Formats: sequence, C-alpha cells, structure tokens
Amino acid sequence: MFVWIILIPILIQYTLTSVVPMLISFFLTFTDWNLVGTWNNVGLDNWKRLFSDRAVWDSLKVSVIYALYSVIPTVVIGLLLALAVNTRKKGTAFFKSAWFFPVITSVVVVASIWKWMFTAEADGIINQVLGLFGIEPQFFFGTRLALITVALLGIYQSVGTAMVYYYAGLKGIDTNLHEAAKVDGCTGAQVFFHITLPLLRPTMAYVLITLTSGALKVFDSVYTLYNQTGGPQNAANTLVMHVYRTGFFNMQMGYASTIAYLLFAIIMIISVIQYRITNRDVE
Amino acid sequence: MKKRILNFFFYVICILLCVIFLFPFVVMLFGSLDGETKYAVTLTSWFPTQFSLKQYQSVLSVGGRMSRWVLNSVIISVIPTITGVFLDALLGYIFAKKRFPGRQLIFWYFMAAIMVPYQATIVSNYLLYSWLGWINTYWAFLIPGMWTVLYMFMMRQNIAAIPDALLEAARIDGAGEWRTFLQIVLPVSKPGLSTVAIFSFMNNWNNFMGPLIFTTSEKMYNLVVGLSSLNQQSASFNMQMTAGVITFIPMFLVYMAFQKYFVDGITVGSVKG
Repeated sequence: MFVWIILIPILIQYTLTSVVPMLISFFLTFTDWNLVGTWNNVGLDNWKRLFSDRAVWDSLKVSVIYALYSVIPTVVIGLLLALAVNTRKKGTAFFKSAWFFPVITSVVVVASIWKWMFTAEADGIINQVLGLFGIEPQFFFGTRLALITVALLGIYQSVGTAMVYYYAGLKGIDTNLHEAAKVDGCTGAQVFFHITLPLLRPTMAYVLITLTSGALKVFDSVYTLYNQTGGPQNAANTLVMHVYRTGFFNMQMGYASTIAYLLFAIIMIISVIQYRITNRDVE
Repeated sequence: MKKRILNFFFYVICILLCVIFLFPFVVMLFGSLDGETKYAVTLTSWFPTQFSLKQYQSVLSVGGRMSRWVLNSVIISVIPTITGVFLDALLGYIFAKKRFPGRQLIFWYFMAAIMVPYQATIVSNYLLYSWLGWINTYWAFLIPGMWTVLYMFMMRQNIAAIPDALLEAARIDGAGEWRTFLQIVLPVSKPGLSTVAIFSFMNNWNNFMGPLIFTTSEKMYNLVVGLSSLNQQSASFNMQMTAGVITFIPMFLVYMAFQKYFVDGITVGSVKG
C-alpha cells in the first residue's frame, strides 16, 4: 500500500512531463504545425528535408567544432589545475575555490560581463590587455572569432568541473604507489607519466564524455552573446540554437522537433558510451 | 635552490590564474557599485571614481520588475528543492529497500529519462504546457521539477547502504512505514540530501532555457531571463552588472556555506574508485 500511494501519483506526473513530450515530439515530426492555427499531416516530408537541409548539417558542424574547441583544452587545463590543488601546498584550497567559481555562476551572468570586456574597440578591456603584449585589437564577436569566443566562455565555465572530477580521481590513487616509485629512484615526471596518468585514464574518459555531451547541447551562451541569433553569418549557430530558431522564430514546430531528434540520437549514443565506460571501470 | 624557484613559479602561475578567473567578477561588482552611469568599460575605467548604491536602490525598488524576477526565481528554485529532497529520498528508499511487483520495470522506466536531453523536447514541452495552461505560470517549473531522476538514483545508492537490521529494528518497535522513513532513513542520509538540495537549487536558480521558453510575459521571467532581456535592451553597463550581482549572490552564499558538498555532488554517477 505504502509503495503504491507514492508511486501512482509519481508515475502519472512522470508520464505526463517526461514521456508524453517525447511522444508529442515524435508525432510533431509528421506535421507542419506552426504554433498557431491548424496542422496537416505531411508524412515523412520533415525527415526527408532533414537529410538534405544544409543549414541543419552546418549547425551540427558548428556544434561539433565547438565541442572540439572547448572540450580538449578543458580536459587538459582541468587536469593541470587538479594536479596543482593536489600538491596540498599552502593556499591551494583557496585556488580551488577560485577556479570553481565560474561553475556555480549562471552562463548568462558570465556572458553579460564578457560582452563588455571583449568589445571590439581598442579600449575594450581584453583588447587593451592584448595590446600590452603588442597584439592587434581583435573582433571577438566577428565571423572569424565568434565560435572561439563562445568556446573560451565554455572553457572558463567548465575547467572547474573537470578539476573537481580529476581531484576526486587523484585522491583515489594509492599514495604508496608513488612512494614506492620514488624509492626506486623515479623522477617526478616519470611517476606522473607512468603511474598517475594511466591510473587517471578512466576519470579522463569520463570527463571527456561528460563535457562533450554538454558541449553538444550548448545554447545559453550563444543566445546571450549573440542576442538570440546564431552569431554573424551563423558562425555560432549551434544545433540547439538552430532548433530554437526553427521552432520559435520560423514557427516550424514540426520541423524543429525533427531536428531535435538528431540531437536526441547523438546524445543517446554518447550516453550509451558513457554507461559502458562507467560500468567497465566498476568491474 | 631549484626547489624554491619551482615553488615561486608554481605560485606565480596559480595566482595569475586566480586573477584571470576572478577578474570578471571584480569588474561586475565594481560596475554595480559605480556612482557614474557608463556605457563602455576600459582597463582604466572599470574602477569607480565614486561609489554608490543607487543602482541597487533603483533596480530593487518595491514594485519594480526586478523585485518580481527575484521573487519568481526564489519560488521556482526553493519549492522544487524542497519537494525534490523529499521525493528523491522517498523514491530512492522505495527502490532500494522495498520489494513489490514491477519494481525493476518502473525503475528503468524512470531511468530512461536521463537519456533524453532537456533541449530535445523543448518544442513539445511548450505545446504540452500551452494545452495545460501552464505557460506564464509557476506550474511549468513546479510540476516537472518536482523530483529529479538522477538524484533519485543517487539517493537509492545512498539508502541501499543503510543496514536492513536498522529498519527492521524500527519496525519491531512498532514504527509505521512513514515513521521509519522520516525518523530513520531521512536523518541517516543527511549528507546525500544536502548534495541533492544544493544541486537542485543551483540548477533551478540558473535555469535559462526553460523560463526563456515557458514564460512570455515579462512579469513571469526569472532573474536569469530578466538579466538576458536587460542585456538585449542595451541597459547601461552598471544596471546589467547590478542585475548580475543580484543573480550571483544567492549561489555565492550557498557555495561558501556548503563547498564540501559541491565536490560530492559533481562526481555523482562518475567513476567510483
């Protein structure tokens, strides 16, 4: 009795808010619903269009490039930060808090500060700093750098997360191994490359997969930095941004749902890989 | 000697990184306290010549739109945090300790939701919520956000570790199902619950895409969406920074108070050593 009194309302709530939307979105892919008015059954038109639509594949490409630009540096820098914290020297507890700060902050808050700091004018804060090193003022929100600027923001906001994962991984490594290696006359670098790094491999794989999955869903930062658009010449038009614009700007809800299925498929594949990795290491 | 030089470089790099990471926050804080209204900020002008709280006064004035955004943000983050802590623990307890027909099936039915990204069903959610009349109401956040599958899973792992003998002892003493849950399971799983509370609060407080799409009237925005709209209306630098500080402060306080739990929470479901 106790169990079902709780489970029945929860099952209804879950079905309504998680399963029904999935079914609706599948149904929508066969319609031309435009947010208002009536809808028609268009059969497989949306799906056919999806596979021949350059704009969709361009946006997928933007998302994948974004993931490469943002994830790889994060995986490396996060590890370096965790190693620094793991030295347990004086002050590292403070450094850890400081480096984690951007993680707890809303993307919109960070992006709205960045917009003021990265302005293209020569007296914008970042351009002034670059100027000190003799670098020409850059047009950060222009076509060429648009996506890189978003990726920089992504790195800034996720290295803290990567650091915490690695730090947890480092704490799990038996310090006796390090001691033994040092007694055997290994240098610090040898210990790192032959003991620490191989033992951190599962953590690294996990960080890589988790961050990639997050990066492919990027939306908030693009929306804020480029005022609801995909940036100049769609240079930062990510897949989710494209879904959003197709649905809520062009009012093609049916087609937007079809594109969203592409995102769903990609994330599902990544989740399966993630599940495999996590479980292999548990064994 | 070599060691001291290395140590010196270690600190130089670490401190430099701290400066890079924290500088935007400093710019934001000083921007919000600036007595002078600015529409551009440079390396020499980010530090105010005169300090003033007038931005906060004007932005937070009673009946102003931002006070309403603060209220909305509080409602759609605090309530789901409370219901979430309770339900995640309760469901975790049921799946960890109770035997009933269909247990595995229902559990995996719930777990399937983890695979579906929020962004993938945003269009159909909008359609569903407009049918239900949830657009521009709190229901669009309170009902779907009532509990979270991932945290239920985490609580299940936590509660599974409670010895059965403890629960059995309570039952022999005549405690009913609810009393066992409230007086034994809940207190024992406090650390896990703190992590759930903090992360539920953070995710809801910083939620952007949901409120962006499910609220269309300015009165119903949460702080994050409100800040983004100020952004697009080209509000002054100082006003945007003030809104930014107000959005940031609750997370800052929660982080400062519960730092330890952030580490535990972030590594939920990750590789277990």
